[in-house]
Amino acid sequence: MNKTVNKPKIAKQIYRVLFAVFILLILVDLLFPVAAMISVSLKKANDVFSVPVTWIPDPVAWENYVEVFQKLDILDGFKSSIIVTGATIVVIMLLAIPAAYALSKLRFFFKKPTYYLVLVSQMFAPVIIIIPLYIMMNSLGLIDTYAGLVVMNVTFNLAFIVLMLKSSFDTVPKEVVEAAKIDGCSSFMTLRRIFVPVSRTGIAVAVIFTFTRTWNEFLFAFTYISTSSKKPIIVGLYEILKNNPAVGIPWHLVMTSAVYATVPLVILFILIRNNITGDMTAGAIK
Amino acid sequence: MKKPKRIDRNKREKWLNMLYILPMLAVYVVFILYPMTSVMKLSLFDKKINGDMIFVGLQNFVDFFTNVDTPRVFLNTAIWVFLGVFLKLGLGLIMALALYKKFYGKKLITGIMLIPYAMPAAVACMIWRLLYNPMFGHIGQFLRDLGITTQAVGFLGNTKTSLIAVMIVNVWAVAPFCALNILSTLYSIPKYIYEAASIDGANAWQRFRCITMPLISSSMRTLGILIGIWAFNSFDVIYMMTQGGPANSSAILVNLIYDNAFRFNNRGYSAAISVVSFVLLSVFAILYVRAKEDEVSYE
Repeated sequence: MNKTVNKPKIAKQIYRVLFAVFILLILVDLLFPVAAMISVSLKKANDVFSVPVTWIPDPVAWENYVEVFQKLDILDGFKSSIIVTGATIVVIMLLAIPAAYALSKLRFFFKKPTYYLVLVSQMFAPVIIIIPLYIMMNSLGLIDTYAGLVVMNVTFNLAFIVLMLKSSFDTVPKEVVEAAKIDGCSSFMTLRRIFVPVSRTGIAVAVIFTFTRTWNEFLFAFTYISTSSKKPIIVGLYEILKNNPAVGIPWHLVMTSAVYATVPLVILFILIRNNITGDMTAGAIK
Repeated sequence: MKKPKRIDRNKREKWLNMLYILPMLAVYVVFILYPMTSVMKLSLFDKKINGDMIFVGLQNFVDFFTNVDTPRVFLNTAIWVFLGVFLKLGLGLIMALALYKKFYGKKLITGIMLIPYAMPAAVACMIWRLLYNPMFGHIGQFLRDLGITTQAVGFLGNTKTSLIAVMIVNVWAVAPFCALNILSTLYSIPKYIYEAASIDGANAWQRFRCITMPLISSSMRTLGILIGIWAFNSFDVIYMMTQGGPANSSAILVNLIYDNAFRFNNRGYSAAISVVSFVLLSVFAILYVRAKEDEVSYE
């Protein structure tokens, strides 16, 4: 740090300019697809196909943001996404909070194998066992239902969320459990009265991660749901692209819906950004 | 008298506590472990059109390894995973080192870096498909503006570029996530180590090579294995961009599993590829558990 003081002033200035340019490059690189999304979402239908391609829409078509609800069936998509995501969050928390608590603070048989099972299970993608899962869900009558999607989302996010919650519960000192026990608190009461309130930030972050991962889930939503009114928003949008040739796609409206599908997630992530690196790594890596 | 009683209570408590994890274990047994065993069984069978299952032994595996497309798909998987991890970690490290410095607007940029990660993969794929469009895509226009080409270029429709074009999308989405992870590791290195090195006359490059790299290498290795596993499993990005095409030029193993299961209805064959993928993933899984066990801490 002290070394730079001795350097000639010019060199320091050049270094600062280069650094600013570099940061700017990172920004441009990260944001140009986002900029393209917003730019196209504000174009008139025909302007999307005009060459040369422009970045600034002229005229600006604000009406796209209203018209999209009449011309594309995105409200059904939002409804499905919200139902599936909401139900997944409730079920996953009911399963994961006790499990994470036990793994963090309680003694039970097969503790180590259970921990390794959780750790390793998040490595095997659902696509590898998609056939038996499809056959099983079919015989249970869960194909083309919200319940089927919820079951799959719960199964394949459980490990990640358990590890995340465990690392949050790990920060509560062991003495707290012992003190509660001496005061006559059962282990379940300790969980309900102490751990859940104390770790509410960690639980909130876990909820948001469940939200994002379920909202973004593609494989099961795409293969299990055939009724178009039950398709989550992500699949609905993809199918517009899949079922039309490139020039037949209403790109401006697709991008408008893309903005609607992204904004809630970005807001949630910005709200928890200070917890992300910590808890995210804790869950996935540490 | 006393001792056995205490052991009894201990045992009872240990059994009772299993109630907390039983629901989770039940989900695992029913929806992961059981399907895992049935996919292994299925890989030894062939399903006929009339629905009969015929035992064919290892024929599905033989078919898979002798198929003309198989070497290409293995190569694609290796490029997708290894080159992908290299790019994600490399760019992530560069961004993390830049963000480690103090500058105006740093908080805003850290927030912006979350956008590619928070954006649904399907939305990102739609945007990139538009960007890549040969006629009215922004990337083609950019190349024409620079004078590199005068023609319409379709990166996704070309067998030579499709894999790289899809990989760019994946790197764009994951590299910022790596950067934030590496950044949090950088913050955990105590400042006094750098100060001591500066006093000893180490320049910036020496400080990076002799302090930063050794201290972050073990957590970067774990991160690398983890994003490698994610890449191996990332069926959706490739499917939504190109469906693995044209002519399997951007398909990795998981794309073949899906196509054979649902498009071509070769369930036994698809299950055989699942088993091969499972074996490969197990190697990663062992590496991951090992890497986690000998991760270093700094103080």
